[in-house]
Amino acid sequence: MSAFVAALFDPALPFVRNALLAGLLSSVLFGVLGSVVTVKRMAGLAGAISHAVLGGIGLALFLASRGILPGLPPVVGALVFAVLSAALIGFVSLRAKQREDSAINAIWAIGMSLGILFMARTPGYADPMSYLFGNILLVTTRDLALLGVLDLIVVLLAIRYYRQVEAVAFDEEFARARGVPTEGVFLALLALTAVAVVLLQTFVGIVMVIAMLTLPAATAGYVAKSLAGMMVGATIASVVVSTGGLAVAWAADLPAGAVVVTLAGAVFMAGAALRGLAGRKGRSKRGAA
Amino acid sequence: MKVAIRFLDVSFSYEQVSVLDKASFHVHEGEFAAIVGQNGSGKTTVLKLIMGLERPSGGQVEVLGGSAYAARPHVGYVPQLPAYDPSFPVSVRDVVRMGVLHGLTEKRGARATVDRALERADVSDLADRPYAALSGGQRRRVLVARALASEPRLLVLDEPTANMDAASENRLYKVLGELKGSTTIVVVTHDTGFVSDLTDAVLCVGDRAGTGRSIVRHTAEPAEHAPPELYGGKAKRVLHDVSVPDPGRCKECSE
Repeated sequence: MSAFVAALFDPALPFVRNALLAGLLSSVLFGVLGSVVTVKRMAGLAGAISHAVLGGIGLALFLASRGILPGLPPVVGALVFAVLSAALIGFVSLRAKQREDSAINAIWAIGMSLGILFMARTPGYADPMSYLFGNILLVTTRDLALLGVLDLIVVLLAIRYYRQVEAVAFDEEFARARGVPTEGVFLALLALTAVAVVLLQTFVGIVMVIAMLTLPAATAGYVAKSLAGMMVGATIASVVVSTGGLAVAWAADLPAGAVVVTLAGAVFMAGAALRGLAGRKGRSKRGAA
Repeated sequence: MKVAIRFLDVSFSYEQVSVLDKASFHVHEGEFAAIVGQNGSGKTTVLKLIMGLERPSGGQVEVLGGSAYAARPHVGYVPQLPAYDPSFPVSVRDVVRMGVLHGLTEKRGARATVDRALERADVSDLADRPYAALSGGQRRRVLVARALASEPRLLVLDEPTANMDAASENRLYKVLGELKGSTTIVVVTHDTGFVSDLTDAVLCVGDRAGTGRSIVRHTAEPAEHAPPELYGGKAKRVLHDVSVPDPGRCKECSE
């Protein structure tokens, strides 16, 4: 831990500070957006978007390397694929009469496969691993600025439309009867999730971003009494596991994203075990009385 | 008497399946109406048409003097116990507050309105408890409070007593009895034999007419030997063999 703290203040290691800042800024999205994704049961949809993003990254690398669109950054391709897949998922979810899950799984699989195929045809070496599992030590100042802007947008929207989002997630039909534009709220959530997934994948990678959008929120859900409490609790849990994960990864020379997600999973499972124990104690006390 | 709900030759179908075929009926303001019919007869569709959640394929639906869509802010809705996620962190007060929503805004004075609704539905003592910790009967009364939070002129309840114990059913009908007169109440039930003694109008969905179903108005008379578990024994027996013509208006209607 002390080595990590020393590295944070070492002027020669700015990427460590960037990594920590990325973790803290990502925690706001993991906490606020992750709580909504969890209670609205959109984790599968977010998973499909995050995996489809690899297709956009692969396409951008391919077009840039072939000189068709020189200098095209992978994040642009990722953003285009994320928004397109979110739109497609939104259309399928709202309009498809059947086989919604098959269509969403197809978007998940085709996006990933396209990414691998484009990378295979990209001259030079394009390593899918850093996109799949993240490389937090390569976070740029631009990434941090974008994360900060998205944090601000998500927090402001969450404050302004908290009651509507809560109602739509709790009982969609009733919310619609109260005049809440439920389809609009759903599509806005999908769009925000798509953009967030693109920015968050630099931190933990495509494969694990969905874990961080659900595990801290589910952990906070053990104790939260409201959706707002869940958002705050999940943000705090994300800050703890992100910072702790980075410190462990630095000390043990391990991939940071994988350590952070493992830690988040361990905290979630410890929470489940504690909750189970508390429930058993409560039952035996009532039985004795 | 002013008309709260009027169906004039309303038809509705889900894709190729016809549900209603030229159904007409009306309910006066302040009345307590029961919409009865077998499971799958189309009762919930009638409710959705009243709430503007579905549009008729033919005919006209009028609610509180305008379109069903325009009347939405003044209609309180109590759904059948909706499937909910028991891990959803939400208190009773927050659930009731959902009734104050009006599109992307909230009605002013939400807190006081919510407190009033909790009190009227007799659930003030549950306000700070997690919704998931309640019994089925308590949850149903919380959903009534949520509907009352919108201070509705028309209250619509879908199978409000399904799977409810007799004590909870009595408490619910006591609340509805206190509302009767000041609020138009429409209750949907699959019990075609008996209705609550609060009931002024019985509308039976299910008699086939043409391709879809019609809605027929029946009369009801006090049932002296109603099962005590039904509406606390204060029930009316539906007389299915006596139909009252209802073309969507009557001589008591004031237009």
